[in-house]
Amino acid sequence: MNRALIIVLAGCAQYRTADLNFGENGEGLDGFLCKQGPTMLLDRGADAGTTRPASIVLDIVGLENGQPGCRTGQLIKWCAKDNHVCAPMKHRRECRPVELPAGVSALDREVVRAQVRAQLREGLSGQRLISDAPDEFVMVRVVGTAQPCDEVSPANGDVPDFDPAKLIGCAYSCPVLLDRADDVYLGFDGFVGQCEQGVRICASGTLNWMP
Amino acid sequence: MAPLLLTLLLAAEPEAPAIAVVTRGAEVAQEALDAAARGVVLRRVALPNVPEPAAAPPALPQERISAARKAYVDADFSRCLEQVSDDAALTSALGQRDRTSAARVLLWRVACHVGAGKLEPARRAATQLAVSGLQVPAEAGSVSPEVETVIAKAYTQAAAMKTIPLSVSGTADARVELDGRPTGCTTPCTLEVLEGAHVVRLDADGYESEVKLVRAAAPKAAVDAQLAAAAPELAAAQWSARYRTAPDADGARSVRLLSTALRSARLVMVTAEEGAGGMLQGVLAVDGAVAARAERPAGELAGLMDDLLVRGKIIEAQVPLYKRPLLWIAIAAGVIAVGASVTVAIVTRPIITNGDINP
Repeated sequence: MNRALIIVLAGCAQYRTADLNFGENGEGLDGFLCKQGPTMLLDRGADAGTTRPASIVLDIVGLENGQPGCRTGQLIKWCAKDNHVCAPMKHRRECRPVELPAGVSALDREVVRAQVRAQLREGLSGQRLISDAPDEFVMVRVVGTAQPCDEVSPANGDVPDFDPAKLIGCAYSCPVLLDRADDVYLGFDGFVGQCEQGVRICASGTLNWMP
Repeated sequence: MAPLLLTLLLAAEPEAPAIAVVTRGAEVAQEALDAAARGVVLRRVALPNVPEPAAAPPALPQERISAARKAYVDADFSRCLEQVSDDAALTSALGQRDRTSAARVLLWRVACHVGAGKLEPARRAATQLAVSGLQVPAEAGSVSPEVETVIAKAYTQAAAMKTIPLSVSGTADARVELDGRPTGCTTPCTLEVLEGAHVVRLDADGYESEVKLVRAAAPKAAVDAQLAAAAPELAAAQWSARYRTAPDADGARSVRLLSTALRSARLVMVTAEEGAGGMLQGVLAVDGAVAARAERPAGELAGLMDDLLVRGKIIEAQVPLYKRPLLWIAIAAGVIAVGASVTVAIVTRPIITNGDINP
């Protein structure tokens, strides 16, 4: 009886797709263009060459179904100062290996943006990273890391933290109810004045301040 | 929905009714009776065996009649009349069917009035003797010829009188006696009587007897008597006297009387024929009225009880599941619940959102 009811209900379900993107011109990729000193995070620890292996990790960050503001200060206040738990949901992490540009620190920022965008398009376009989104307000976060997927994929139900020394970039969405969203813009407007610190905060386990 | 169904189910299980059971004929085992109690409580009770109440003392003691006769012989007519002038006692005597004593009292009443020179009262007493159809006592031979003349004249006049109808009504089916004699009629009925005083007695099963004095006058007379319901003890005595050994003990009147005697609103009488192959016969009475009769072969007491209780509407027949309304109510409720769930699911369709990345 129950099984039949589930089948009926599933048959009645409305299926839809939300488009995760970095803006029409890749403007949301600012978090992948940070420099630590003269070197871009993209180049950190990478051999010189046209591309380097990396991982793109998508997390759905729970907001306790709250709706904090989208600005950096609002998010930090919500997640850190107001004692809400803003952590990646278990079993929701998706990781895809990609090739990212390397040896690009000396290039013009917009050129690097275009190259990063092109590589991501090549490696990720059309891939399904979210299945049956949660029925609550969440934040979608995409982290680029030099760690392989094996290291960052969930193990025993836990979501591993990223190695700060291997972070390449980060982007996040505003709090969003995915069931109501068509386009989900992933961007990075800088958590702090220093871009690389913002990436560390963005990629941290609970979005807390990580100097 | 669940509480509603639970309420319906609980409401469908009323308290088991209690039924008194009496058995006649061959022995009916208690185990068989226990096994036959489907959905009811069967309470075996014994058939009453109560002797009739002791007869009331005579309304007209022989001593008083003898004293009147002696006073007449002694020419002490006033003392004579003291002994025989009680009309109420005379009525009671006729109510007790003691026609002989009544006739003797009237005889001496006539004689003493004549002796006292009161002819008119003498004639009235003689007329009552005649219209009541009482036989002149043998001791009339010891009274004066004048007395004999008065009496003979009264009988002659009575023989010439035309009868008038006396309508007797009241409690239905009461047996009617007139002047101490059975009439063979049961209420409502009409008797033909001579004009004058008469004593009417009514008896009915389950009721107290009643005696009434009626003064019948042309062109017609009537008496109506609503008998008082008998106490269970009296009903038990009546049943014991009339039906305990009677073959029609399972008749409607017997069962009605027995219900009163046993104080049973619901009564089953089972008659088990003796010998192999004997039949079981049963009758169910509800509030004294026969509600059902049934017959089954010996050994089928449970079936007999089922027949009686179902026909008597004490319990419901065991019907197939698909014929039970409660089943269809439950199914309808289930269909409605599923339909409502599906409707809700359709109206509030769950949204399944997937996220595809397009950098």
